[in-house]
Amino acid sequence: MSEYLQIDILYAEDNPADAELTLYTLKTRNIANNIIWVRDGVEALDFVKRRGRYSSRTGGLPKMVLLDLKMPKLDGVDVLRALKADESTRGVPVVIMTSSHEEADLVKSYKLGVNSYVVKPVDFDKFAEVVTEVGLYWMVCNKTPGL
Amino acid sequence: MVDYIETAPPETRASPHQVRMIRIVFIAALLLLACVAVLAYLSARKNDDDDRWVNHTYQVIIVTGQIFSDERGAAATARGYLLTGDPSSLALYRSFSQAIPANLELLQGLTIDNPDEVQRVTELRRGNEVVLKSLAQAIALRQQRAPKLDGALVAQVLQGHQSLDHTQSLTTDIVRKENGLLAERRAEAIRGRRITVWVIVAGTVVSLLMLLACLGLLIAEITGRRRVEARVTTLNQELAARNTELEASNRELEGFTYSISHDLRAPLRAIDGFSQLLQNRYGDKLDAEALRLLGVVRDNSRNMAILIDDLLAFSRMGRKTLETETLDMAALVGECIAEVLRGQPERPHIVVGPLPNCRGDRTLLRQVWTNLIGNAVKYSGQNPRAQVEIIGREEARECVYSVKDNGVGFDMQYYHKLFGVFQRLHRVEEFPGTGVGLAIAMRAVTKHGGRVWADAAPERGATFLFSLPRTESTR
Repeated sequence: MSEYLQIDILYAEDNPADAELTLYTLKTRNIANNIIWVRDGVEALDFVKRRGRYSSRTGGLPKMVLLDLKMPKLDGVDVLRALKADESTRGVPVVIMTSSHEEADLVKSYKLGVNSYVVKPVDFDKFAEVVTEVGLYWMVCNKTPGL
Repeated sequence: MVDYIETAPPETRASPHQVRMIRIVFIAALLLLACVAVLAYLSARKNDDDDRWVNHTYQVIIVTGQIFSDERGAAATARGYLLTGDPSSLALYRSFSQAIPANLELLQGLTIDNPDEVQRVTELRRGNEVVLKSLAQAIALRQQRAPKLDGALVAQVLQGHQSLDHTQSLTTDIVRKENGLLAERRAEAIRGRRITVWVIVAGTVVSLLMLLACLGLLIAEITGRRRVEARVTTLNQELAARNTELEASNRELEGFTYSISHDLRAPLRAIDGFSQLLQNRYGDKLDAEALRLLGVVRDNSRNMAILIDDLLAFSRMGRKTLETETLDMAALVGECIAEVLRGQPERPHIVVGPLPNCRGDRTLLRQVWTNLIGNAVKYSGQNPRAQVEIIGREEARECVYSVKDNGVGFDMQYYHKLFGVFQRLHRVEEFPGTGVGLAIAMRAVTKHGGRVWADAAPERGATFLFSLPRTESTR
């Protein structure tokens, strides 16, 4: 999709099963090729800000960040807060995916400036549909300033 | 929770009675004191009257005595004149006899109220006239035939003397009678005073005792109230503690709900997703039976997902706080019908009657209508002439709404199971569902302070009704 080493999606998810299903969907439906999967919020922020094991990585910001809500160490809302608080990362679209229907998370996330908030359906077909929709919208249709 | 709400302690219930009692006793004591005061005043007036009577009697005695004394004086000086012819005696006689009529007038005035006395005074006056007349005649004789003492003169003097004896007895009689009256009046006055003193003392003592009783009752009342206050404070503290406990357990429950929502759904998603992956990638290597088995795995994981979602919806319903507003029921029902019919291939004939507006929580009532209409559509689906009738009516205290269908209905002997969570009266193969819909509807309506009930017969349709209170005080 790109001639540079462009990171399409930074994907933070602690559940390997969910991660595999999401990655499978995104790849088989040709939405994104270059996806980085990290296991928690700390690693996600390390990646974006080039810290820790990602201190020597090249390439720019991901085109989109896909966050699971409930993760060890820093959770999705923490990562969202950190990204939206930093001038240099504020423009990156952030989508939170979660199993939770809890409204408090939804309100909290929108207050912090989340770009999308999706609840992962249990049904795999519906799940694949949601992942595809989110990916298509934020990767293909949406125009982000400065990116 | 209900166990912790105690009814008011008995002391608070007895209190109004006690206060009324205090008021009655206090007023009675005041009235009694007022009576005692009036009695004392009347008694003082009576004493004055008695004194006046005694004075009056004394006056009568004195005046009567004076008259008799003047008479005697007149007789003595007349005799002196008759014997000596001394003009100074004559002058004295005149002054004595002239004083008498005025005193007689006075006596008559004093005794005018008493007929007995009037009679006696009249006799006295008459006797007097006789005495004075005979004295006057004797003096006239003496002046004509002076200075000889003859038989006529002596007879005249004797006659005057006899008359004087008569008036003396009359006077004595009057004085004796008056003394008798005096003693009688004194005795009466003393008796009256004694009774008055007793009544005043007794009345004062009784009213003092009543006031003391009032004081005692008041003290008891105040003590009682303090005790109640202490009890209320204790209860409030217990309630506050209990409340904190409940809040903690509520938070715990919310956490638990969150866990169920998140943690149970993730593995289910994996089961479903990986079954699908297996099917996608290795479908060509699996035979029909293996594919069927995979399908069973996926069906059940989906069922479990629905169960979890319904259970969460049910628990969310319990935690949600009511946000009431006046709802346009017809519009709300219209939206719910559209929602139920979306993606429904076989649509029944739906008749919507008048629907009164009522206060309620939009989200909760949308859920109620959707569940009831959804059930009606679902259970009448097998009837080729399926019909659903939605109607409402306003009653004095509540609005009642009903959803009636001509579907399979149910046997009323299972009515008690109808609104239970996960309770179903039909097999899943016949009608899909988890059995949470009516439980949710029931919980939503109960939260409004309303009721839900139903009427049905097998193969003859079912009617579900619910009511919402018309007052604004929904719980």
